[in-house]
Amino acid sequence: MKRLVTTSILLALIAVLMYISMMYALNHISFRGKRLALSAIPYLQRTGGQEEKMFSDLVSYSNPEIVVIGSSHAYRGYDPRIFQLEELDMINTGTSSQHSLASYILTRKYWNYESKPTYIIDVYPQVFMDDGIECSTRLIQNVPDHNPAWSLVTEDPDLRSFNAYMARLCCDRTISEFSVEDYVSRGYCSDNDTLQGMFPAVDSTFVGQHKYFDYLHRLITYLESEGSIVVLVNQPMPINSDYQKFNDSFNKDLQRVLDHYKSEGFSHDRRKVVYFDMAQDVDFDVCCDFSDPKHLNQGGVEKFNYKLIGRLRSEGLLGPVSVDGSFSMLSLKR
Amino acid sequence: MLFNSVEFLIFFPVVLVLFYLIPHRFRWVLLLVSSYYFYMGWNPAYASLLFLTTTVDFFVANRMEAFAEKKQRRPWLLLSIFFNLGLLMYFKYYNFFVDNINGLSGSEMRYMEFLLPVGISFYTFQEMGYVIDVYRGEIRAERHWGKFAVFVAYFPQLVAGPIERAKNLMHQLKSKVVFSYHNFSLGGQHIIWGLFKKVVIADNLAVIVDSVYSDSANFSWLWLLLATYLFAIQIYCDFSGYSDIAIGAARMMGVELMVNFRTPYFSKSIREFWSRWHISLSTWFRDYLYIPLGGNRLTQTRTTINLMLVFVISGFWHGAAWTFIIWGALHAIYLLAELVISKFSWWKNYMKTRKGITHWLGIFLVFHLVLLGWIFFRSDSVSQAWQVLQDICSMKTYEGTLPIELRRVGDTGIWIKVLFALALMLIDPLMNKIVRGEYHRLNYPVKLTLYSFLIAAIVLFGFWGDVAFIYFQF
Repeated sequence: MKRLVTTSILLALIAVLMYISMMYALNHISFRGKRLALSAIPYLQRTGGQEEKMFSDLVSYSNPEIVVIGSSHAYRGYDPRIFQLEELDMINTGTSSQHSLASYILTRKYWNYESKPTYIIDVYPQVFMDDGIECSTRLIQNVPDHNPAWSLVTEDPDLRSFNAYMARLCCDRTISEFSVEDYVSRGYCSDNDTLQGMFPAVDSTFVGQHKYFDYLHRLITYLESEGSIVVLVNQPMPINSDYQKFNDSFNKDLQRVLDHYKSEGFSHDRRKVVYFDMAQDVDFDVCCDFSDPKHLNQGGVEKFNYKLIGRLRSEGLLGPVSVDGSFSMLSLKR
Repeated sequence: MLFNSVEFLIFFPVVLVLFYLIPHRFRWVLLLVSSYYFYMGWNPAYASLLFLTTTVDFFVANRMEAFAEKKQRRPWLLLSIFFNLGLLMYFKYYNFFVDNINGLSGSEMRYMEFLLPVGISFYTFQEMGYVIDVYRGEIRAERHWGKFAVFVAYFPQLVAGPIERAKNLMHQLKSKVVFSYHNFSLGGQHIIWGLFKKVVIADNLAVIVDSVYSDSANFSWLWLLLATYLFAIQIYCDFSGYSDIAIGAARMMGVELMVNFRTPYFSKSIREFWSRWHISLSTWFRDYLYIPLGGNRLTQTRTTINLMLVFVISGFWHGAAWTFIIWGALHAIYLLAELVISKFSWWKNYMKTRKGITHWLGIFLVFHLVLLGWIFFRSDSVSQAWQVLQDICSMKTYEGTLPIELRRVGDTGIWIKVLFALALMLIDPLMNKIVRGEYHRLNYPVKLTLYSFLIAAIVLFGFWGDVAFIYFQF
């Protein structure tokens, strides 16, 4: 037994040393202008891109009126310029495939404001199904501080996230390894393409990951407790009967999260947590409002944003909740 | 529960510690409970199927033993075979038959919507082997249901083999095992090497192979050829990796499972290939089907029929699709051709060579014959396989853009994966000797460094995620 323990310890120690050496070397040797780690280590993401630009734009931003949280649906679907035209100060914190776990960590660290903004959480069903590794590894490479990066590893332990974190420590993060051409400002990216021809039908049934609904629940509870209004939005997708079924089963799971607020006293009556399901909104045209089967194009975004702003206003969802539970209608006052 | 999952990383050490802590007489309970828990990780409902087949075969074997004459035992044997094959037919092949009947007759028979019970082909074959052995009087029927159930459900080899024989496994499961450093060391080496082959080689290659084969019409002949070569390495590393982990896990609990692979791509004939690839299945077919059919002891025609039958069934065992049947038939044709040429003296001389250009040319040729079979094995349909073959032979060019999965990997990434795969094939024969303890030239520090490197590489380069073993679908 003693021999087994000694061998195991030695094996572990040498393996750790080798791991660190290889990680360091791969992050410092470049081939064709790219650090070798990016080619050799699966799932590792480059530094730069939309995430890096968004963080450098928004980390020091203070007291917006609206904060948008979510995946690429968020950063491609909510244009701060349109909100600005409507005299609303909005920032877009969406990142690629951002799941609710990441949203929770980032919101607590970066997007909590004294102004008690309205939080729009874009809920895209697919993100609740994925394993979330793309989101985690991209953020681990690009988030400005080590703490939230490490939280992404520990909250959802996965060797891939761990490798991404180690690579973050080893590589030079001041170098931006790729850029996005369609970045506009305040986290938003625009797309002017138009969906042409047929798009693939949705053939999967919705099988969500329990943990992401849990973290959505935690995120909403956190924002509620801070006194903000939370609006969940499921943004328009091309009209499709299969997608309708898919979306319906997602809604069933989401309803379980929303039901918590009824039972815990955060009732819908006070309208602090509202869900707008616009996924199959008939006003959006498959031919001209989408850039691809999953995202709105700039024309679609404008249509969607004006519609959403109108709805937020008409339902009095802009501005912080006052002590007695009523709303100060910031935008309407203007 | 997958071997390459965090759950197994917790499950196995817990079982291992409990195994050595509890008294020998209760170990079968631990192994039974842990094996069923392991199996229920996929679909709890299918554990009832495992329980049912175990109980039926336990009962049948004990009934058979009550009779001295084979003639009297035969009805029970047939009952067991019909029952096991019936289940296999229903769960694995029902939709295949419906598909073909609908296609031929234009009828609209309904498909069954259920998931294939993981490992059903493996454990039904293991049980049938046991029942046949009892029928032949080669072993005694097990009187203890629980211990028999452990033999059937033994978690290291339950879902993808090796398909064990009762003669080898049953007595080991009953033997009193004491802690041994030697067993732990060999077991650990097998597990590390198996995991390396699976997550570092097979799963990384799968990205390229799957991208190409999922849209094979939009790739040039070079990509198709590369993907086929890589698939040959992927399936070997995936399956032999699983077998190594199974052998290692069992070894740590004092059980020696049979060797399932012996560097098959270094074979000089197809016959030799089948004595080195998935050995537990090929010997199963040899002992329980080929030899009872008469083997090669009868006329030339009967030998031909027997070989054809065994390999077509073997192909069908792998999957309910015509691609697998053709793959099996192709290997039967190779073997028949070999039977013809094996009568020539040059063939005998060729088989004796151990080095030189003839030796390596033979290995090269056999590998490419096997590769041809892999095209059918990997393709989703016969028409796809045919198209891939035509595109490779006609050197089809294609100028379109690569799919997103391959663009993400990038040129350098693809080359790194290819180099890893080639390096693996070169060191595989030596590594097999090392993990089996048959190579004694490495001293302790070198071995320690070697396995530390493998562990670091597993963590660093492993394609972690929910990637199942290819043979789970069979």
